[in-house]
Amino acid sequence: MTTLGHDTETATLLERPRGWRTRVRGLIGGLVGRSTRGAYRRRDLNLLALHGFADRQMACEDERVVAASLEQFRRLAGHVSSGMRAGERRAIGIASPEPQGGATMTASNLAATLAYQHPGRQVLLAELNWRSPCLRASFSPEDPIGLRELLFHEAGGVETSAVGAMIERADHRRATESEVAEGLESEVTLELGRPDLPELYPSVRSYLTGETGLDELTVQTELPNLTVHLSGGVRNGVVSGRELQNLPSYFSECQRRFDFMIVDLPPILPFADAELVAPYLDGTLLICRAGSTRRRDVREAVETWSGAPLMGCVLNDEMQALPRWVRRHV
Amino acid sequence: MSAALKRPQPVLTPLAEEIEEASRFELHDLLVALRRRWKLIAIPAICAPLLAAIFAGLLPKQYRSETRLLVQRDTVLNPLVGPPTAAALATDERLKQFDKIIRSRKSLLGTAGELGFLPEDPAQQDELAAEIGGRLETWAGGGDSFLLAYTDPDPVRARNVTETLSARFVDQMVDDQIRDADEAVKHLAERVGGQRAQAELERGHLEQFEKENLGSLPPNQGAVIERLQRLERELQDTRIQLELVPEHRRMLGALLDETDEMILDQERLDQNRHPKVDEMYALQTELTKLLRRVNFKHPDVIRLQGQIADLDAEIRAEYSARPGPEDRSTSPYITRQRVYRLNQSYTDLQAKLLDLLLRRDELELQATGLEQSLQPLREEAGRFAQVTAQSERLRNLSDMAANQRDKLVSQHASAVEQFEIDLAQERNKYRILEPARVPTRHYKPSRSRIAIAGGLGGLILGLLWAFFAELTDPFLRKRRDLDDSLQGTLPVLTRIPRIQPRG
Repeated sequence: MTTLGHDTETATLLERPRGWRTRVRGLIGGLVGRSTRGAYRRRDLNLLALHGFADRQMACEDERVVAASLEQFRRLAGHVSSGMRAGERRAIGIASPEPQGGATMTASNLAATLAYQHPGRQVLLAELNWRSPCLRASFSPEDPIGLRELLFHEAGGVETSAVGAMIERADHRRATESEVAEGLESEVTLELGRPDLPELYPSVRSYLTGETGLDELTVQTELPNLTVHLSGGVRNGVVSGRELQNLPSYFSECQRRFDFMIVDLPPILPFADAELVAPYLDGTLLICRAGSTRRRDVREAVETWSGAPLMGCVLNDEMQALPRWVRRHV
Repeated sequence: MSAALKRPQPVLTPLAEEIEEASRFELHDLLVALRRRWKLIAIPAICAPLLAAIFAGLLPKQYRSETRLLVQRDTVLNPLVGPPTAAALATDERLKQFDKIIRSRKSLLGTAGELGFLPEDPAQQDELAAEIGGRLETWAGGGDSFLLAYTDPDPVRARNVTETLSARFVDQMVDDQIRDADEAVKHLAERVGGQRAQAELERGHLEQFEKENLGSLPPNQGAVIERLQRLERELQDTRIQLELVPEHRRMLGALLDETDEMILDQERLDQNRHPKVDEMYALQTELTKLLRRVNFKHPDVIRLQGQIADLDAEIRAEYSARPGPEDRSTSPYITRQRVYRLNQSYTDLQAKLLDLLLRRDELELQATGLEQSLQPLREEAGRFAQVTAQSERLRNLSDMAANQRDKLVSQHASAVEQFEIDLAQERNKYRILEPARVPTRHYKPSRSRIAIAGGLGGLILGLLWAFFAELTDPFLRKRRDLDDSLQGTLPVLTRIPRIQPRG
């Protein structure tokens, strides 16, 4: 078991948000020689509750919005734990209709909130979103596998000549690691999507495939009652039949050990993975992101969902009426 | 696993109030939409002014020359409204009038002809007048001034047109005033001429009348008239004397009756008269005779007078001692005197009456002769009077015409003088305060105005764009959108605000 921290300097490619805005911003940042703050945003938001309840200084938002967000997470935690009897255990899935819906952020903060609210109970944050895993960035310890190591992974004998040439060029002009990551994101992602890549760290995938035990994949956070299971999935998002066979045992073992099990699920509409996991859950929260989730996707997700009962919806990333520089003076 | 969460969740149907609440548009939603779509609004609002400024730079430049004209107010203000409103109305009316004068075809084409770009073709002249009129602007300045501006691609031509138009306007206004005053003077001169002709005509009539009528009168008109007057007076005296004859006859009859009565009284009194009366009469007769020979200082006269006075006093004392009222008329002494005097009067009247009776026929003859001699003279005098009256009337008419003519001549002189004064005043009323200058900077296109207009247009376009984008936005934006999408099948548990990185 390893303990994960929150070192912001050990950013990896996996945590970087994708999209043309991020890429343009990254390229501009690379040209002007400064790193972009947006690259770290998602990871910071995942740790919002963890930092917020610990009264830590965060590089994100003013205190009022953070406090309001924490209140919303408390409220959500109250919904999850409402009517819970002594000794009762609950497994709650967190899913969004489409990618980039904020399910991971909601799951991580909900788990941290539950851990704070129920210090006598064990809370597990299980990342079963092996389509786009990103919890590792937030709860990563000193990552032994940096960018170079990842790209020139010798154990897997990865063919990375093209990517290596790019990094060589980046080194030649003394670019920072973040610049390289921004500029070569697509190529690196392409390389990482190869099916023959092995798992680089202990994860749920490795547990399901029998490579590791449950204790080995447990990542302990600074909260003693909050445990994180990373999904892995850098090799291939598709779940094999063998992994599905081991899924019930994973859930039964986890529910035996933890009172709350917050499961970060893959998006509902593009992938069927969430419905494979849903039978083992007590309820599901549908996460919708303002400005990103389409209306018809919400309707379609609700209509086509056949797994655990939907407990309700969470509207994420709702825009404030006034910008921060105005709210600061109001 | 928890059995409580395994149960299917009830479908939550929103209440009508919630639906109404959800459909209500709030300021928060507007602010959120504006913040969300600020790029759609800002990009057109920024790009449009730039494009508009570039477009303005490509447009041909127009130069504008202005001049300020002073036109003193001489109109009567409207008494139905207050002074400020009346002044504003008067200013508007004057501005309309001036604008109409300046934009007249005559003024515009005259200016073009003066500046040498007047085409010969009438159709082209119409087009030119319309073009110049379209480039003209007039508006009220401060006080009694108003401004005239002309816009043209050529700055020198803009100045020339403005200058010529303003000069022509001033000249035209002054000429109008001069023409009005000149017409008044001409009218007076015409009237003077008419009156002068009338006076001449009246004088001609008088001369003609006098020539025709006075020529037929006798040459010794004054002697005739004098003789006529003398005869008239004589006739009048004769008639008066004729009228006195009956009166004298009546008076004579009365005196005769009185004398007869007095004589009867005298005879009655003579029978009882005092004995010394005869003596006194004898003394008086002697005295009278004596006085014919001697003067009154003669001792005999004095003696006789003394004797007469004594006798008279004695007689009077005796009469006064008699009883009864004293009646001097019945006094024999007095009565005799009166009879004497009456006799004298009677004699005189009788002599006069006789004289009158004797002259009566003569007077009547004389009156008849006078009447006969007066008749032609009277006719002549009547005709002469008629001629004189007619002549007098004609003379009066001639004098009146002459007076009227003199009056009109005086008025004409005053009008000419006033005309000169008015002309000087009118020249001061209309003048150019600020002459037109060659513009150094172009007037159109105004980059700032076009850029501002472009900015406003871009802002409106951006707002419309943002509104359209909001209408067609497929994404969830707020709680209401999520409620609409869920249609009550699922509750919205919480809303997490957007968290932005610091800085």
